[in-house]
Amino acid sequence: MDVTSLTAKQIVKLVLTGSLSPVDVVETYLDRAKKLNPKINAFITIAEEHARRSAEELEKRLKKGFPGKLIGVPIAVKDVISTKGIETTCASKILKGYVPPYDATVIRRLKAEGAIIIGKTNMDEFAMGSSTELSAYGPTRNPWNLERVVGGSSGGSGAAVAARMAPIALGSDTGGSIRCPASFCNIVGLKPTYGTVSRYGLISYACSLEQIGPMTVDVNDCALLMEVITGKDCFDSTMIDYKFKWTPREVKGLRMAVPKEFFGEGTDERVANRVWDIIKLLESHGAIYEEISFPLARYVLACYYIIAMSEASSNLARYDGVRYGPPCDLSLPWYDSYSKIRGEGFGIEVKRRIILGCFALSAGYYGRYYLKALKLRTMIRNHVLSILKSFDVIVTPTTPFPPFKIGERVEDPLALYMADVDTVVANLAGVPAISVPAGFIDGLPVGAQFMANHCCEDLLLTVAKCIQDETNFHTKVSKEVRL
Amino acid sequence: MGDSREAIITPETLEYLSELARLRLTESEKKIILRDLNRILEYFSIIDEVEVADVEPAFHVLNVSNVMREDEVGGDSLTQGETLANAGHKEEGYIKAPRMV
Repeated sequence: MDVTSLTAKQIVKLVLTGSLSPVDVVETYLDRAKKLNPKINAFITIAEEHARRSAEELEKRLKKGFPGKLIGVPIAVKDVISTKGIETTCASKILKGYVPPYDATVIRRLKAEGAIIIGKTNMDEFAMGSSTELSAYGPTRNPWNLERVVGGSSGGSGAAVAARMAPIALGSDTGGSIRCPASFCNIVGLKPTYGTVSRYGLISYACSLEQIGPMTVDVNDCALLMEVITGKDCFDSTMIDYKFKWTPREVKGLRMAVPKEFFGEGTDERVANRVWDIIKLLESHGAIYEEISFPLARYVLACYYIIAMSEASSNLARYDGVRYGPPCDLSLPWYDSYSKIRGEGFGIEVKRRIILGCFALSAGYYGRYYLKALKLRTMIRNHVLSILKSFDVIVTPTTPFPPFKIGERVEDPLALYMADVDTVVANLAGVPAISVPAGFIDGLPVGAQFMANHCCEDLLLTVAKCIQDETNFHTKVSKEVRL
Repeated sequence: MGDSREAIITPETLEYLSELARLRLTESEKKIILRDLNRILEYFSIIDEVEVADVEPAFHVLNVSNVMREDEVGGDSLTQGETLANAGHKEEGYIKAPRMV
């Protein structure tokens, strides 16, 4: 049996019936991860020792009759999520060597259900980027084409799942960071409704926008992971009362809004065509669609980046080399000591965003940039919600173009920001959004994105399941990762 | 509205911002950041087109506010040793920071 071709659900079933042991599952995945990582660079840390020890403990737990929803399932975790005893770097030099003394709430929940952390995945430094090129540990390579980017910022998680180095992964999504790599890797990625997954232990970049979410091969696994990670947590005061529940149903009668601005100028026609194929597929199953207008589309990227950078400048003030990270120089006055350690520890994109955020919040410019962006955010959210009064879902491409070449955009921040133009709307409005494999362009994966109203993740999964059953794109694995 | 502007960030502004952010920049970084920031701000000026006078700013996207809990210690706390484990400089159970005055 090829364990790495199983879904998480199948692994759990086989472990529970005794046909598969957690130790065997972990060894198989560790072996594959170690062989493929030099080629893909999906993991910053492969948590070999931790994974082995956890698998052995699970064997004992199984004997005592304590199963779990994810028993024996290895999971790759983005290196922005705190894992007790496992180095957590955010792909930054300024957190090199940092070993969190506690688990994020999502990690605690995963462990309680028997999941095994197999490693920490590569990302853009502090989740600031759309290609996983901006990592202090070098770029992650796309398993579908090693010369191409994997998307970002949760690119390592995307690549790990696409290369079957882990059956499931966690990413985080501030403006598309789960969905973009999901799209570029031919997997499913879901950004949940804001406030449904605890951010406790998620290293902050832009608190009002980001959520942790699942990245999986299979839609059913996406739902399984949602069951485990959602639910209120007293350590995150921005949460809402919500318990995830999904009963698959037909898409017949589903109303889809197709905003034409997201298919026009700036969008690769081939990508638009793949997404239209998906819309037609759903239509053939009884869903109905209507083209609509989204006049605020031209402002979403500016609105998003002003807010994200402003929050970043405040959130990243904590890195001063005093409590964690490379130790600061005690012989210097505090100002010079902090400036030096931050100057040496942060990469260029992080510096750009901190400086620009400081500017947008500074006296004289606050009203023109930050406050204005917050007001625009209200307008964008209200517009999205008004569309979702008449429609169940909004369909767009996940990204306006297929995976681009490593190095092609990284020197030009605005060109890189354009990768987020379809995804930031969901973060600004706080609504859930999913990227589903929509096929290939010259061997490169592209995704279709669906947004729904707050707490309507079940609708997104229903749509995703229909697409998965009818296309089987998800079963395709790149020949680059055949061993 | 939306007219093209002079570079908003001058070398002096950048100096001031990097002081505000406690962020030392090398000369080559200053050059890159100065160029990029003005380009990005020029792009951001697109929002000048929108009239937002009567709109409330969105601080929480779902309008959740004042979430309170009972004033009790929740869950397990970290030990002093765990809390200080990642600090580079410490002495007798305290973290040592650079000189403030």
